[in-house]
Amino acid sequence: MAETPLFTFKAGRCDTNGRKVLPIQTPGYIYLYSEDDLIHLCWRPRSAPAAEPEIDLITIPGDATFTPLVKEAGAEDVRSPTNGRVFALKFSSSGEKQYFWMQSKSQHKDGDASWFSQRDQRLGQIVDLLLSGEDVNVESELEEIRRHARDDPDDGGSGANEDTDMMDLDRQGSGGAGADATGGDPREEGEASREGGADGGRAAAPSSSEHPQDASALVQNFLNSLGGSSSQQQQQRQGQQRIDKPFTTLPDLLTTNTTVSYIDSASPQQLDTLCALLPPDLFLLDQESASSTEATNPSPAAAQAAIEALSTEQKKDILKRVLRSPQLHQSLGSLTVALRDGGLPMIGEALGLKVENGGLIRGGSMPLGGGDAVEAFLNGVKKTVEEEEKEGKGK
Amino acid sequence: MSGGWNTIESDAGVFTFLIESLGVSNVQFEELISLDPDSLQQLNPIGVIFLFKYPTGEKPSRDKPLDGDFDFAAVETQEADKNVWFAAQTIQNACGTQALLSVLLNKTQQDGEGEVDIGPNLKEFKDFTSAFPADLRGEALSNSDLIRDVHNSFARSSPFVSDSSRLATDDDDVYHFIAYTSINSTLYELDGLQPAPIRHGDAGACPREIFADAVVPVLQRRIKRYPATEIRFNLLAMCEDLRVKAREVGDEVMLFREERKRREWRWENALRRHNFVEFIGEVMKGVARRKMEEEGGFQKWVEEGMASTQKRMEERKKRGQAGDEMDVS
Repeated sequence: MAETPLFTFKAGRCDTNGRKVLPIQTPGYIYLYSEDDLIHLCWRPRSAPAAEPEIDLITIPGDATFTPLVKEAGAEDVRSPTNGRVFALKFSSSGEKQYFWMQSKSQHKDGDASWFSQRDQRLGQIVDLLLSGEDVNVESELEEIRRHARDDPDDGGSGANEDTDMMDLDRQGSGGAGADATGGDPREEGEASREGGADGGRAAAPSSSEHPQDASALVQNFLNSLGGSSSQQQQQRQGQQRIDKPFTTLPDLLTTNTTVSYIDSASPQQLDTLCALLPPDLFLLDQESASSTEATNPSPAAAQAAIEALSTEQKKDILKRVLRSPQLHQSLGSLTVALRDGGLPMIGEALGLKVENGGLIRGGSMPLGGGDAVEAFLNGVKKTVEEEEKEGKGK
Repeated sequence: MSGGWNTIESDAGVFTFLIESLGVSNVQFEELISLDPDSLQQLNPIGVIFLFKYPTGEKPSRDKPLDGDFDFAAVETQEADKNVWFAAQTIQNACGTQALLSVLLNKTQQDGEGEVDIGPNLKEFKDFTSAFPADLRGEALSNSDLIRDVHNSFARSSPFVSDSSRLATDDDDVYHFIAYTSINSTLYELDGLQPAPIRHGDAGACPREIFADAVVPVLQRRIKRYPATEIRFNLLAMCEDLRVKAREVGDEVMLFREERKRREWRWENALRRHNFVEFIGEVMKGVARRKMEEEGGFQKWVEEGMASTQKRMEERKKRGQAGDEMDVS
C-alpha cells in the first residue's frame, strides 16, 4: 500500500452463516485508499501494521456501496437487527456482500449497541461516498461531525467521549456487538441485484413497442426505473416488505404443467390471441426452408400471415415451447419482483385488469407491495375474468 | 458515463448474433466441450474466449503476469500494422463484448486467411481509437452508444430478478471474459483487467495455423491455477461461419446441422429480446378462467402455488441458505 488512507475507522469483520451475520471479535480498522482510480477498502486487525491488511478489496468507483444493515427501513431510529451496528458492503456488479460492525462505543444514551447515531450514520456515509468515487473532503466531514456532536449533546449523549472514539487509534473501547452477540439476519427479501450501471436498464426492445403506450413498454420502463433508483432506496423498499406474508410467485402459479394443459384445452381464438403476443420471428422460423436462416424484421402483416398459415397443432406446439422456455420463466420471475416492488398499479392498468383500489394500499396512496401485491394482482385477474364471462367475452 | 450496461449470457448464440448486429460478417461462436487441440483445430479458430468466475480475492498483477509476459510495446508501437488493439476494461458488465471486440479488432489487417470483415461500424470505431492508449480505448468502448445498445439488446429479459431467483443460468454476472488469439503470428492473452496484452511464447512463434495447438496448454495451465471444485469456466471458440464452410466442402449433413443450430439460436434470441408482460397477462387470464370453471378451482390453484412456494423456502432453509419466496434455485 503506497498511498495514505483516505479514511479510517474502528470496525470488525463479520462471518455469514446462512442467514446470520456473526461478528468476529478481533478489534480492527476499516480504511480506504485510492490507487490508479480504483478504491481499496481494507481491513486489518488493530495490532497489525498498516501496510498489511488482511482484507484488501479493490472496487471500481460506483460499484460498491456501504450502508447500515437496518431492521426497519425508513424508521426514524436506525438500528441493526443484531445487537451491534452492522454495515453491509455490497458490490452491484457481482452481487457479493460482506459485513462489518462498528467497534466504536455506542452513543446511545442507554448503551443500546445496535443504534446508529448521527455520527455513526455519517461515518458510513463517508465510506459510501468514497466508494462511489466522489471526492470527499474527509477532514471537513469529520469536522462537521465533531461540531454537530458538540452542538447537540443529545445525539447519542456521550459527547465527552465522542472525540476520543472517532479516529482515535489508541483507545480500547470495543463497543458494538459484545461477546455474546447473536448476529442478525442479513437477508433482504426480494432485493433486485443492481446489474450494470446505476441507470442501467434494458434498452427498449426494438421489436416490442411500436406505441409508447404499449403495456409491455410501460412495464419495461417501470422495471428500468427500479434499476435506476439507488440501492439504498431499493433496500429500504425491500426492508419494509420483509415482514409480510410470502404468498406465492408467478413461476409457482404458472408451472409448465398448468400452462401446457391450459394450451391443450384452449380454443382456437384463445390460441390466436396468445400467438399475437409472441415475437413474430418464432412463426417465421417455423415456416422457413432449411436454407434461409437470416434474421429478418418481419412486417406485422407478414407475421400475421405466418400465424394464419399455421395449423392449430403447430400453434399449440409453439406456445408450449415458449411456456417451457427459460426466457419466459425469467420473465415470470421479474414480473413478480415488479409487482412486489410497487409496480402493481401500473401493471394492473396496463393489462386492463380490475385490481381492487387500483393496486393502492387501502386508505393511502402508496402501492401495495410484497405478497399483498401479488395477491391483489391475482384477484384482479379473477375479477376481470368474471366480468368478461358476464359480457360473453373470451371464449 | 453515458449509460448502463446490462449483463448478457455467455452463450454461443448470443455472441454470434451480437457481433452480426454490429456488422461483422461470416463469424460465429462454438462452445467447446473439451479442451483438446484436435477438435479445436477442426474449427480453424480465429480466437478463443475463456470465461471463468472471477476470483474476487485475486488482485490484478502489476509487474508480471502469473503466466506469460506483458507486452506493453505491442500496444504502444506506432507502426500501424504491428499495433495490437487492446482496451482496459472499465465496465464490469461490458467485459463479454469487450473480449469479443479485442479479438475482432485485431483481425483486420491480415492478408488472405485470417482476415475478418468487421463491417463499417467497427472499422470506424477501430480507426477512431487507433491512436488512443489502452485506458482511453476502454473509455471509448464503454461510451459507444452503438456497441452498448447492441450489447444491451441481448441482455437477459429480466435484468432485475434478484440474485436468488435466477433460473436459467446463475452467477453469470460474476464471470470474467478473456480472449486468446494470434496477432502478428504471436499468441496473446487479452484481458482488460491487466495492464497490457500478455504474450505467451516468443514473438512470431504462433502463426494462425498452429494457434489451436499453442493455446490449449496455455488454457490448461490457467485452469490448473484454480481448485477444481471452485472454478467454473466456459470456452467459446470464435470461428468462420460453419454453414459457409459446410457449403464449401459440400457437407450436407454438417450444413443441415448448422442451419438447425442457427434456427435454435434465432428462436432463443427472439425470446430473449421479447417483453412478455402482455403474454403473461393473457396466460394468467386463460388459466384463471379454466380454473374457475370448477367449483373452488381458483382457490385450489392459489393454494397449490402457495404450497410450492412454502416448500421451496423450507428446502432452502434446510440447505442452510438464506431464502425468500423469490428463490427458485
